[in-house]
Amino acid sequence: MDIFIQLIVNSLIAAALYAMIAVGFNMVYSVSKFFDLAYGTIAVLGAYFVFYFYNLFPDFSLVVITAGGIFFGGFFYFLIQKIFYQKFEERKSSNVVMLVVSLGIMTITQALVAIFFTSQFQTIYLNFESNFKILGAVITPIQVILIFSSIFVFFLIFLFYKFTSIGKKAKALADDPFMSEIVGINTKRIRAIIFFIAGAVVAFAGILSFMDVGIEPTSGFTFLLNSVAAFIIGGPGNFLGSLVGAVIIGFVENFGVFFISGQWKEALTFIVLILFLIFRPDGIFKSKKQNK
Amino acid sequence: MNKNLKILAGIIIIILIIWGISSMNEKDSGNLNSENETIKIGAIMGFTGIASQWAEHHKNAMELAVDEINNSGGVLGKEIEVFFEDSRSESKGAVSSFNKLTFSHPDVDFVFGELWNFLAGPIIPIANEKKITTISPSIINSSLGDINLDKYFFTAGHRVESYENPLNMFFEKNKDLKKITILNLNDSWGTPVGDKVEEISNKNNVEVVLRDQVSIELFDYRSNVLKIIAEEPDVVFVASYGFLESQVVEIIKEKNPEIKIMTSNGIFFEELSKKIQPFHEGVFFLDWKNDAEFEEKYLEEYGMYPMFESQNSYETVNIIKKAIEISKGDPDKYLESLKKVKYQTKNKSYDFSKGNLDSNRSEASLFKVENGEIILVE
Repeated sequence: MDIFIQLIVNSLIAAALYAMIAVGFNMVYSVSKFFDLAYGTIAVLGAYFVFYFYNLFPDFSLVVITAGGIFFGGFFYFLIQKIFYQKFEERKSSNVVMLVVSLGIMTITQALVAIFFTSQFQTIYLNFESNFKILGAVITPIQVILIFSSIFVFFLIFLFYKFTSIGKKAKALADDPFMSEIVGINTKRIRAIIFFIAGAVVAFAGILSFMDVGIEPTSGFTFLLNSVAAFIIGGPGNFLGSLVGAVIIGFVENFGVFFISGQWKEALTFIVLILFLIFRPDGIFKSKKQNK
Repeated sequence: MNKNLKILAGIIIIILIIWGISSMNEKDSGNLNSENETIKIGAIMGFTGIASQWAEHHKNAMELAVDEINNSGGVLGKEIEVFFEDSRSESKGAVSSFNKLTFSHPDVDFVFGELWNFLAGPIIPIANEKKITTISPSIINSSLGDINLDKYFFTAGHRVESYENPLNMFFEKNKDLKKITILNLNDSWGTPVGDKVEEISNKNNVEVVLRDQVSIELFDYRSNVLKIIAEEPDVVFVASYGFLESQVVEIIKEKNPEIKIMTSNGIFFEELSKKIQPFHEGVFFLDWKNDAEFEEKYLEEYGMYPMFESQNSYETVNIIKKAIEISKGDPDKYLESLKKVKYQTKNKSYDFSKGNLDSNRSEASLFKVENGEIILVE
């Protein structure tokens, strides 16, 4: 029973991380309509920002450094969008071209991180007084923060789309970019804002993962793969779907390795993804629009 | 006219490239003549990436030996010169480092490296193809011996058989142990180590109730650990690299402090532990004793204790020296001479006549963390 609860907790920790990244990826995909492979590396940049400044100023507030890392992630992603993606969009480049551009940005960013920080696995040891126990399951303070942050971020994004003018415009842009421009929405500005927010979200996820288990320059791609799987399982454009997809991936991974060999951990995610693509290609929550 | 100009430009570019390459070769041969008075060793290690902490200590130990030899007159009057290459702790990086090293220094006498099994594996066929005598100071023999490619490749690393005595001792001292679970990396180091633990456990009538293997790319072992402790073993053996072993130990101690834990050696070195966390009290681990004399020298030179079997790198340089002396300085006889080297220190023993991959005859020891100190279990 104790082990079973711990497995659930482990699954929720993994799901929280994937959900944050998947929801951010969903935001970006909805306004750009291409698979941005560089998205995961923003998580790594945020984590390395914290790693660098925490080592440089060990007595400085970790919360402030984390906030700096989140802002840095958002700003860096905003710059990538402005400098690269926007230019290619203006040229009406195909999705394949955009994918290749994002692959290039991902590779360059990873290489730069490895050059500046080496490709050594990095972590920080946060000496918390004690861990929490829930029905026999152990959970560290960072893991609690990760789970609650994920819920909080999801709630904020929901509010952003529901109640803010920019959020509503972003939804309109996601539905019909052409019509959005006709009605006077500044689509370039909206895209830039969405990229900034999504960059900040994924950087936050990367920082929390770094504090939990550590990070290396190529970790971003692993984050991206699992989160894209969650995004596809949940259905592109559906934020609740991304959340549910992340929970499915988290549970499959953790319960999977418990019952079969640990070597299958990475493969399990993609077995589930392929099954979804075969039997439910539009994701768990088929939108009304898709049904039509 | 335009087309002719393009052809002319093309010819000029080709001539320039050929001239550039040939002059580079001339430069290299010039170096060969001028540097012929040194013994050249190319060293490949993962100075960046997951093996970088290992590489730092092995490089230090290697340089310590090189300085000692050079300061005492060199080998047969020739100084040792070392050229380092970073494999970035990647298999393909090890291969490109080997190629780069042997291209930029075609007159290299020995290649030193790699440090980890999965990094050394890909360079073995190249060493044989290029006929360059290559010695790893640290990889274990098992899982490489059956590929029959070991003509020019040697290891001074410990044999997996050296785990047998301390494992037997552990089981003899803990006769109440009935069940063991094993968690190891599924690479060419972790798998043979896990196999050996399984074999010795069975011999001691300790049932291996579960064995799980994990990928080196995974950073999150939480649910794998739950699986191995769910079987309620009396003891868990973990073979992974330092930080992840640490993660596993933490979870086991938190979930069931009654379970005895034994690990491979990556977790307990002072430098690594300082960076991560204090020693894990009560945990057993397997390691090979360094000579006190070597530790003192290392501490004096670098201000820290040597770790990760780095004495092997120090001794490997001395083994190369011995091979050169046996060959009387004839590079054509280096390979055959190396196979004749027998070398002994207080705690280390090497005999290359036993086979390219079986030279290290040292025995591992069993250690335990007690009251924050590492103690030798005797």
